[in-house]
Amino acid sequence: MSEPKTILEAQNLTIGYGKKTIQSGLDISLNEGEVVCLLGQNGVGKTTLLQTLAGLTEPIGGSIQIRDRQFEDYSRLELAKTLGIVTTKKITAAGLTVLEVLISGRYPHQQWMSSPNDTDFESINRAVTLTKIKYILDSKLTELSDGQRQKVMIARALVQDGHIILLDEPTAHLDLNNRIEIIRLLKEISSKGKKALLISTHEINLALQFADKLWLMDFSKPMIQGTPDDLLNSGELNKIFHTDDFKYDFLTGKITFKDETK
Amino acid sequence: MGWSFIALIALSVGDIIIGPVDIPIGEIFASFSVGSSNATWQSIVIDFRVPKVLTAISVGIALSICGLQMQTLFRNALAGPFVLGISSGASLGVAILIMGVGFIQIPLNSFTTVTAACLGALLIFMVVLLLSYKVKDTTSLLIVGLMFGAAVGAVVSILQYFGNPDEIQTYLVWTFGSLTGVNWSELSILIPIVAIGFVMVLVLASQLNIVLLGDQYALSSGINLNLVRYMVITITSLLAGTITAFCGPIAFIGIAVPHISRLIFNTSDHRQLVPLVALTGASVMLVCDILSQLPGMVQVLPINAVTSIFGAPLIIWLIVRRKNLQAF
Repeated sequence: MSEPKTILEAQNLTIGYGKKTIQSGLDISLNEGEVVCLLGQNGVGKTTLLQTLAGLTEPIGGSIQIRDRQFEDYSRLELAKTLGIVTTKKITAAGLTVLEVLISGRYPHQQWMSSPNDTDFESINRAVTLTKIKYILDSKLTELSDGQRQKVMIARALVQDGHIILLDEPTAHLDLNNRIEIIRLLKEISSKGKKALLISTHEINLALQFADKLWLMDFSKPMIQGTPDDLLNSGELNKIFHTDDFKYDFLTGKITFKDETK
Repeated sequence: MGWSFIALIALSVGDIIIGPVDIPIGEIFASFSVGSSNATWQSIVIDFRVPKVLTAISVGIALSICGLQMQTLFRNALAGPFVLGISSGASLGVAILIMGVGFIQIPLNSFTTVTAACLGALLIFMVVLLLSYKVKDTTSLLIVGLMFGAAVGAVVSILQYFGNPDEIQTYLVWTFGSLTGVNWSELSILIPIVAIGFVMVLVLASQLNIVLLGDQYALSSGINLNLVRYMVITITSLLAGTITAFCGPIAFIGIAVPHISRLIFNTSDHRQLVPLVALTGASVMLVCDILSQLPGMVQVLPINAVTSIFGAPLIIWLIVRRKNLQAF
């Protein structure tokens, strides 16, 4: 088996807002066709890491390479052709239709002021088929359910035709059916499209089942990386999702409070 | 789009025909030929009514696309050049020019008025945009805009207090808003500015669609968000400033027309919306001008009164009907 191709690499990366450091010394890499789930408590820096890799927040220190090229050498347009992001921000002001949103995703590939061409529509068609949103193509974004909207935003990241898609809590606010559907869709995207997916999530059970790798973030501790099995066996997962008050059993999903066991 | 174009043509012709002086329709068309029988009628049509129609169209296009851009940039359905104090800024510039010319030796003409109004508009827009990063919610931003309006009003009052009666009257008449004061030589400044502004917004159209999705999506799509912001500031200050300089502060067109267009044409896609808003804006302005000419009366209502009487209830209706104005 050949070694999977590394698409994104970061060394000694320090992330944070302004002067405030949230995580430091991160050494990470994303491979082609790989789903990585980023787990950790609220406020630990998951979103900041995604934003930093997407070029929306400046890194405080360290270096990032995407496809063997320094991150700083990418223009915004070049980065947009390489990397797409799905954020947690709910789009409030958009009477745009799904198709219009997808066309806007082709922006980095379009010539200045030209209308979408055949290549654009081919890419949009592929994304629409994969995400199964053909039936809502003419609906307005505001008319969609949370699950439908999330699929549209994933399709929008897909039409950018990049190698990497970053997703910030893509299953938040969704019911179980939609959560499983989205995770399966993401898995399919990474394997079929040979894309690297980095997903921040609180869905530990889904992550354990679907992720190729887990990145565990904790406050003022180095990031722990490994396959779900390794991390479960070594007990690292327990360390992160464990406080003095309760214990979470990852195999049964049972929560035990400390004062109950006394 | 075809129908709105036809409507615009019809309204233009209607606005040329209707006026305090009754001129037979045949004579109106004859005015455009060299050998017109009635020199007075010809003068009314060529030097008065046609420039007025062209002014109304320019005002409608300019203020409406200003409102559209601002609503998109702020992602706020209640944004508009008047509501956010941009027109007040332009008024301040003109007030300082009219009532301050005694102190600062600047001649009062259309060039200096336009410059003063644009600078005033630019100043207020920059401050509002800076504050919009601090206050994210709709209500606060609108209150900030209102406060600017109040503060500018106070400064203008102080200027009036020290100004001489002639200057005060010049300023007050200007604030009523008027489409009639613009002559052909001033139109030769106004029309190119509006045309340039319109083309610039058209160029921005596909970027504005992405701006609607939020800053993060805009940046990750490869949009130079700062460039888009600067362009919107420049276009809006230029257009709102110029229009305010020539016609006075005209309320509600900027905020109302984008909503009317979205309602009629049921789209938020700027590539369609920009030309549609321009067409609708021009038509609405012509309707307001026709309404300002009360039948059987020589007097003409101030255009600002007409746009406000129809614009204010429309906005209230929109707010009540939509419950919230977030999704536009």
